[in-house]
Amino acid sequence: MTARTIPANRTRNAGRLALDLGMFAALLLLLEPHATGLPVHEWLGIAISVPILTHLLLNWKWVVTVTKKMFAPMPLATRVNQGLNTFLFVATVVAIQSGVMISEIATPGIADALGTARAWRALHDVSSHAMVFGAAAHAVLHWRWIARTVGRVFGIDTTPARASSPAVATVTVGGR
Amino acid sequence: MRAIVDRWVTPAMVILAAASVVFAATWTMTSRFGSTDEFGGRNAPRSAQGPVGRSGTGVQSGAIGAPIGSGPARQAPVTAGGVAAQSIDPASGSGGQPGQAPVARNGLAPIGAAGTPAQGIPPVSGNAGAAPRQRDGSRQGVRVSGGEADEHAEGSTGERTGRGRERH
Repeated sequence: MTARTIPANRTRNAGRLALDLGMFAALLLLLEPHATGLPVHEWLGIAISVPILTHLLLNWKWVVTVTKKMFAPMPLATRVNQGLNTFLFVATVVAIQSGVMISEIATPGIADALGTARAWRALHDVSSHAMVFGAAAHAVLHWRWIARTVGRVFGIDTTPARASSPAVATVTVGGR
Repeated sequence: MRAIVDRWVTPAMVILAAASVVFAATWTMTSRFGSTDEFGGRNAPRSAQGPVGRSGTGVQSGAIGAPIGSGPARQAPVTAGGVAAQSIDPASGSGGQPGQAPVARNGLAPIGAAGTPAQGIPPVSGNAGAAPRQRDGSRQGVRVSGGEADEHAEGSTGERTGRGRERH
């Protein structure tokens, strides 16, 4: 990436960073329903699907690139990142789905009507914890991109963060 | 227009399709294996609640009614009367137990010995025998020998079991 492209990407990266940080903050809020109240927990849990979808669309190029090379040799870090992202996607879908099923306010009574409330509740517990774990690992793997983007957006020197690392190599696949 | 479709619409459809696959798989698995009905719950199909007892044969109840974590059902020491043992303790893991209809001294099943419907509603356990009906229809004066608690129900959650009760 040349110095000439940095200003052009700054706005885009700032938007991505804001989106990701907002999602992460929402995820932290979702961790504790008692703190936010059940209505906020449920509606926020449903609404978070929109930024998640946006996040995937913004990084779609990486998804396509890695998926096409699924059976080709690829760096271990990229492979790990791919597996983790798949895991995170499944956990997220299941967490949102099970949350909708056991919802008491937003979409009440679905699981009760089916007689499967207990199973959905257990599934929600497992998948939501898996989602948090996956999101944390996702952030760790992209920590250098986060630090670098924060530095660029706010004009902080990010020279140390430019050293090659698994995270950088992973990000490079998608050109992110 | 084409660029917008390629950049946003198609990927969005792919993502939603993938999410739908996960959704459908989860729904199927939960419906098939996660239903409380599978364990003889309140909404259990009739077949999972055990058959209705026939006259003179007592009741075989709750055989499928054991919830998760419970061990095998223990035979209920049902006494005379032919009324199915009923479990009362929600802390235990087994369903109602089979009972045997008594045989009167004359070799015939007593009046009222018809088996009651299966009590396969978990989480219940512990078995209480019911006093047999006398020929006059009363239950008085008869001690139920089968009404003792199953204090040591088998199974992983068998520490807590139901306490039997006696009916007079």
